[in-house]
Amino acid sequence: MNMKRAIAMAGLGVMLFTASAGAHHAFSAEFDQDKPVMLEGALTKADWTNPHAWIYIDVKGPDGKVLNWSIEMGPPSALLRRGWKKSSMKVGAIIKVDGFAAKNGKEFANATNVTLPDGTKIFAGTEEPGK
Amino acid sequence: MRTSITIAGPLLAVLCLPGIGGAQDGRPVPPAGRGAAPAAPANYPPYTRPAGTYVPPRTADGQPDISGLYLAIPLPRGIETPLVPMPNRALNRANSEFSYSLNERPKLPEGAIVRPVGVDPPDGRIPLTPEALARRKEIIANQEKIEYLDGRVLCLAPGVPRSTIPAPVVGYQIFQKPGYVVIFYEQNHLHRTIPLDGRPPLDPNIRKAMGVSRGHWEGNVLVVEVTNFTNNLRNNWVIGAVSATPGVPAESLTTGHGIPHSDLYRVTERYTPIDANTIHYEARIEDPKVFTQPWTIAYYAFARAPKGYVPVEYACFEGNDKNLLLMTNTDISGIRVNVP
Repeated sequence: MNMKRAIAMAGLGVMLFTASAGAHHAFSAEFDQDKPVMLEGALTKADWTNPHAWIYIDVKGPDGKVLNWSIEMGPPSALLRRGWKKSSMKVGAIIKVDGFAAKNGKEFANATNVTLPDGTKIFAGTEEPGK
Repeated sequence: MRTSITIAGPLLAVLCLPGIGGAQDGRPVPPAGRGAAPAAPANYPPYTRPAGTYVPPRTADGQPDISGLYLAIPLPRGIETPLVPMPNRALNRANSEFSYSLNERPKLPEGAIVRPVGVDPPDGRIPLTPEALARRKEIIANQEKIEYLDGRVLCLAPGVPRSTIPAPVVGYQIFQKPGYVVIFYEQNHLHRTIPLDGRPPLDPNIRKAMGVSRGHWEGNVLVVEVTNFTNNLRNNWVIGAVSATPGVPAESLTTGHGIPHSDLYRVTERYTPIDANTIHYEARIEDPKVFTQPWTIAYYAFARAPKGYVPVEYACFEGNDKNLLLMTNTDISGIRVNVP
């Protein structure tokens, strides 16, 4: 991905991320809306859990080092209603995530959108961002 | 287990961009969502309680029959301000996207989103006492601390009317038995039993997270008085939603975040069936220790679920370990119940 485009998209993500609601979690206590991230990597695990589903992907950083990121999504009930299934997430699939990084600086992020290998882009958060 | 990533080398990228979205070019940037106040119009059209002209069928004991499965209709606006409609979204559509599906969301009546959910006082603002506002400021300023966490984040029962504030996990099932209405909430396995026989509330010393409900029918409208709420939490907001945007003054928040109640809290609800598939909701909120006057929220709240809809469990506590991990670095995942 082109770096300039990535930065522009990340900026746009913040600008449009209005009226977004944490259905359950305390977003601002855990994640930083000034730290938008775009992650891409192979899915290693999917936890279809309440109150939030989590997926885990291996992501290669700029230094070439691969880190396993934990990605928070909406609750399974909300994902189900948007057409997600547990089987939507296949281990090994290369997926893209845009969202916001955790405040603790570790490999955690809150997903806004997840793009599946076939290009399907699904809103993964707890409420739809502006688009 | 880590999957090999070599085949995907060119695709792998991580990008952390601190400060994007800030005032990089010197222009002031509005607070980015999460509770920020959109610009409010000077005057809102007055709220008119919808006249329920629809006559529901009757249950065996003569109650208007509103039983069945319902889904939350997403709020088309804020508690205290109308939301700015999003581009490419019809005016009568909600901004949010968490209902069963966009296409099945009911079309709201004309004008349903032009004023805040707060209908009384007419400006939509929650009439906080100076003490309650100070408390709210304290909560917002400390919201990143675990002791100030919203009770709902802890998976505790959110009370009334907050259980009826739409969220992705909110579906309902209304049962009617002779002399009773029972409401099941998908959220956290909550339920309320509402006797209709005019019995008095419980002793004031008996307190329940969802309160004690006493109902009666006024024509086709179910009216419920809810009292006896627990007050043993610092952080059980009255309405609330959304963690507040850092840096946004508490006075300009529009989400109800950080408004607790006292032992005097009481709510009067009105469930008005509009047609066979829609119920309008109104809640009058009183608490002289927190509010300078009673205030009222009203909105189209319940849409009958599509045929074949099955309630989805929202067992909040089941996997609620990441909050602790992210906020305190305490990992309790080893004791979490794993669901296959």
